[in-house]
This record gives sequence, C-alpha cells and structure tokens, in this order.
Amino acid sequence: MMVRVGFYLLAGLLLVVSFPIFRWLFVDAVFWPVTPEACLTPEGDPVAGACWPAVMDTLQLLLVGRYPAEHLWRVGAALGVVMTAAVFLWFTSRQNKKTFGTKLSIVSLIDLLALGLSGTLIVGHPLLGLVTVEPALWGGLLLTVVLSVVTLGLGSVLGLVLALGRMSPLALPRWLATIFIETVRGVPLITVLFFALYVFPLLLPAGASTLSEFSKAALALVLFEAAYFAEVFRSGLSAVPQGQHEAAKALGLTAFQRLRFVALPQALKISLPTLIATTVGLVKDTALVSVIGMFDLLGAARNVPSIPTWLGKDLEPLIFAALFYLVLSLALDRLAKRFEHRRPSAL
Amino acid sequence: MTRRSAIHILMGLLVVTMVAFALFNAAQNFQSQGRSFGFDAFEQSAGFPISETLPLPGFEYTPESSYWAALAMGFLNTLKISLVSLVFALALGTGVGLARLSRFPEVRGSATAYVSLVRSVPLLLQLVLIYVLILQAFPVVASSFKWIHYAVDEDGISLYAAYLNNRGLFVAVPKIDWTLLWSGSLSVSWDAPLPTFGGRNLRGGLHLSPEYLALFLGLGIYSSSFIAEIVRGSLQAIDSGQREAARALGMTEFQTLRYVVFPQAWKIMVPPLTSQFLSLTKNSSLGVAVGYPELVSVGGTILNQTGKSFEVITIWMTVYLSLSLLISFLMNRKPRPRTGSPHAPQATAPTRLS
Repeated sequence: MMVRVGFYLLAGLLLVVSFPIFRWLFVDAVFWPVTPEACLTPEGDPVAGACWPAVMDTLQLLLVGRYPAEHLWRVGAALGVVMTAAVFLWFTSRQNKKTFGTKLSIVSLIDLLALGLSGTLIVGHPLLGLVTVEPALWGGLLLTVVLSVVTLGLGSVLGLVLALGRMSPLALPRWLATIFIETVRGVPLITVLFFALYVFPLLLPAGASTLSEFSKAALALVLFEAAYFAEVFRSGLSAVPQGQHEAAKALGLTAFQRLRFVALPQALKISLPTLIATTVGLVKDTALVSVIGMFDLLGAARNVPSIPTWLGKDLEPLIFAALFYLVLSLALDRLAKRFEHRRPSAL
Repeated sequence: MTRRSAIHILMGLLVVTMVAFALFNAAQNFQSQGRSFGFDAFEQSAGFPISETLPLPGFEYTPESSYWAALAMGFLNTLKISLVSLVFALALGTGVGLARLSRFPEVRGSATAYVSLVRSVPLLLQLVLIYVLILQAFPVVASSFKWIHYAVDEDGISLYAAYLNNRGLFVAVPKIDWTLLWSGSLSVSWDAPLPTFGGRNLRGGLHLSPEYLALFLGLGIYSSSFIAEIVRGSLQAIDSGQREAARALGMTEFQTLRYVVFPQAWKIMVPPLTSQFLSLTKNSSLGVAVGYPELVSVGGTILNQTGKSFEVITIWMTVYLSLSLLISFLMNRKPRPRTGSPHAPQATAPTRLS
C-alpha cells in the first residue's frame, strides 16, 4: 500500500514537471516551414517552443555528414545490400535455429560479402568507376554505423585472439594478453582515444603517410573493445564443460579442430547475450569520438547550434540524436532477448 | 616441448622487435620535432584557473601554482565527483531495482522503462543534454527557484536559503568555528548565498555549478540503471524458499527483504557493484565534455598548452590504472567465510556492465 502511494506521488510530481516539457516539445513547437525565419516571432524574437526546422534543415549533416550529395545514392545502395543480406539470413535461420552452430560458416560468408560490398560502395574506388570519398567527409549516423561495424568486426576478432592468448598454457602469450587486457580495461576510453591521436603517430616511422583521423579513432575503439570482448569470450570458453575437451582430445582432434568444432560453437551460444550487450555498449562508445572533434551522430548534433542560421538551438538536434541511439539500442536488445534463457526466480 | 620453446622464442623476438621499432621511431620523431620527454616542464606555473577546487588545509590553488598542482586538483575533483555520484547512483539504483520486482505492474513497468531508456542512450549524450537543459531551461538568477525565506536585507530584497537557477544550485551551509569548542560555546554562523548586482548574481554558500550538477546527475542516473539490474539480479538469485519461510514466520515483505533476502543478496552484489564503481570512476573522465575540471579536463588543457602529450597521457593511464587496481584489490580481499558458502566471483568479472 505504501509503495503504491509513494509511487503515485512520484508519478504525480513527474507529470507536473512533464507538462511544460510536453508543451515545449509539441504544442508551442514549430514544425514547418523549413526556413530560418520559421522559428522567429514577427518581432524577431525566438519562438517559445521547440524549433524542429533546425533538425529538418540539417538532416543531411546529421545523417551522412559532409558526404557529397551527388554520391549519396551509394550510401543508399550500401544500406540496401545490408538489409537484403539481413532479411535473407533471418529467413534461413527461422527454419533451423537448432543448427545455429554449424550454419555459422555460411552465415559469416554472406555477412562478410554483404559488408565488403557495402563498404566498397561507401568508400568508392576509381577502378570500379566510383569516386573515392575520404573518411574525413563521412559524418552523422553514417559515421556512427561505419565505426560501430568496423569496431565490432575487428574488435571481436582481436578479442577472440586475446582471449585465447590469455587462456594459453604458454607463459609469454598469457602474460602479454593479460597485461594488455587489464591495462586497457583499467583506463577510460577517452585516454585511449587521446593515445591513438597523439602518441601512436609518434611510434610510427617519420616518413610513413599520416593516418586519417578516422583510422586513429577506429584503432582506439578496436583496441578498447577488444579487451572487453576478450573477457566475454574467455568466460564463454571456460563455461564449456571440461568433458567436451577431453572427449574431443580422445577422438584425436587437434587443438585447432577442438577449438573450431567443439569449444567455440558452444562458447558462442553461451555468451551470446553478453556479446550483444557488449555490442550495444560499443555503439554507445562510438559517441565519444565527438570529443576529439569528429562529427559522428552526437558530434553533428552538437555542431548544429554553431551554424549561424540555427544559433542556440542546442536541444532539438540532441533529442533527435538520442532518439536514434534509443532505436538502435532497443533493436539490438530485442535481438538479445530472442536468445536469452529464462530462469525460475525467487521473487 | 621444443615446439613450445620455438613459439616462445619466435613470439618473444617479434614483440621485442616491435617495441624496439616503436621506440626507435619515437626517438626519431622526438628529435625531428624538437620535443623532449621529461616531467620538468610540469614544475612551471600553470597559468590557468580551475573553476572548482577542493579546499585543502594549507593549500590554495592559483594560476601561479605548478602543473603538478593543477593535476592534483583535477584528480581530487575526479575522486569527489565519483564518490558523490556513486552514493546517489546506489540509492537511486537500489530503489529502481526493488521497483522492478514489485507486485504492482505499474511500478514494475515504470522501472523497466526507466532502465531500458537510460541504458540505451550514450552517457556522453545524457551529460550534454542535462548540461544544456540546466543552462537553457533553468531560469536566470533574478527569477531563480527559491526556497526557505529567512530574512529581508537592507535593500528590501528577500533572502532565501536555497536558490536554483541556470548558474547552478546555491545552498546556505553552517560554518562551525571549532576553535571555540574548548571554551564550551558552539558558534554556528551561516555561509549563505547573497544576491549581488541587484539580484542578477549570487555569492556565497555552497555553490554547485551547472558543470558539477550535469556530471553528478548524468553519472548518477546512468549508473543507477545498471545498479538497478545488479540489485534485481542478485535478489532474484536468492532461493524463493527463503522468502516463503520468512513470510510463513509472519514477517512482512519489508522485514523479509531487510533481514533475510537482502543480506544474502549482498554477497552476490558486491563484485558487480565494484565493477560498476570502477566504470563510474572511468566515466567521470567525460567531465571534459561539460567543462568540469576533473583529471582528463585539466590534463587536456595542459596538453594543449605544453604539447607534452606523451607525459600527460602517461599520467592519465597511471592514475586510472592505479585506481582500478586499488579498488579491485580492496574488494577482492574479502575474508573467506568459515562455513562452506560458495566463493564469490572476482570483482573483475568477465561480464561487462557499462
């Protein structure tokens, strides 16, 4: 009873606070026309409500950054390729969820093909008749997605290698892997980003071509996430029953075969929810590149108020960006729920 | 065995070669760019003010203080915000975690929605949003939210004990003069925020800046969602028989929780909560995005002024690593219970929570 009373009191309080917020967001807000004067009163003062034309006008910036408009069809094509592959895989997995482990190779092949094709479309290459679009021009949601995909792909592979190294019976790989993992997990991502930005170029030969900012940010993200993936893989691998390894050894499988056909499929199935949670964290971590001056979704949103037309309109683009991250995360969480096991609980 | 040694030697050679290569390049680059590696430059005076410094007995930070002093202030700010946010996050997180297990569907639903929402948006975005909200949506000083009217000053302006506006939160705090304790009297005076410039600004009292408030609330709310899940999971892990037995003995729900379920859940909770505390401390580094002068923020300023990126980054990593190791070490030192209870998992558990 007390809980109910307390809850409704709190709910009432929140409702009172949310009225002016709701009014600002929708009632007093301006939605169209998309002109600079739309958000000004006839006297020239800013309107009391939200200025959504600020988002509509800068939509291209927020979604693809400074990607040349004449080549935008390639981004659409890349998206199309990925969606087709996703739908195709979803249909095939519906039929046989039980053979999840063995179908992994075909799935990965299609994944890689789709990713490779879409990546090529986005970057472009003169040999294929596509003008190269440098990573420096990528921005907004496009940059967030590309960074996430690159980090996920390279980071998970490196993470697996690190996990195997950490579990190795040999001393040197174990030490190196452990030192790397514990060091990277003990520092904030921002310091790793600064490291990649300022220290890493100093460790390369003076004559080497300078890396793009994108590469440095991607390097930092990959190294950082690899350490976390390593821990997830390590716990997944150690959760595979010892009997499995012994039986595999008794059957005469080599270490690599034991890993590929016995340990990994089971480990992946066990750690899938955690892997997806780590992926969601990865997507959110890409937002930090806005601190080192890159214009990903969050960076572009923070940049909108600097545009003279939309001076002072900080909140609208931030809310827009927040909605996108929400959708991305919730979609991934939905995916995770399909694989979660249900346990009976005490309460 | 020969294969093992071969792998060892090969790998060792590879690592040594890579490290030597990196160091060689570093030396070359340092020379060609006219840099030097060394911490001597840090003795120079910083030349920049720090907006929030913890008052230490016998030391006051000024722009004449050395870079080391600036870094020390930044570090203290990191500790301060981490501890304060943790307390807030623990309180809020425990509440939400319990709400997630409530028998009332509306309470359960709201708590679930809260957790899903907060966990889905990047912390940096939440921080920036709260900061912008405070700066733009809160009223100017002249029309602050005011509480506890206690006096009227000579110009006829009402004085209040607490003000909330777009310059932050101002609260009156008691100042106890400890030296008078010996003479048996306790002198309590108040350090209160007073209006200046005709009510357009405030001075005095405890002042929580918008940067501090944004970081405090942002870190607290974000971490509370993860703590809520930890609390919920730990409470659910306790066998339902415990609760049933307690209820059969006539205990109320609250008593069951307080005397039976929670003490057992606590043991399970500590390692992931420790991870969460480490996470929070590392996340405080985002203060650089809202302008709160914690370690990364101050270090960043020093990096820009002196160009000594190597040294600053080394200091960052050393400090954060030491903090992480210290906290994990302290938490893992829990004594083994003498009865055969299961050994609690390590605090650096593989599951990633942030």
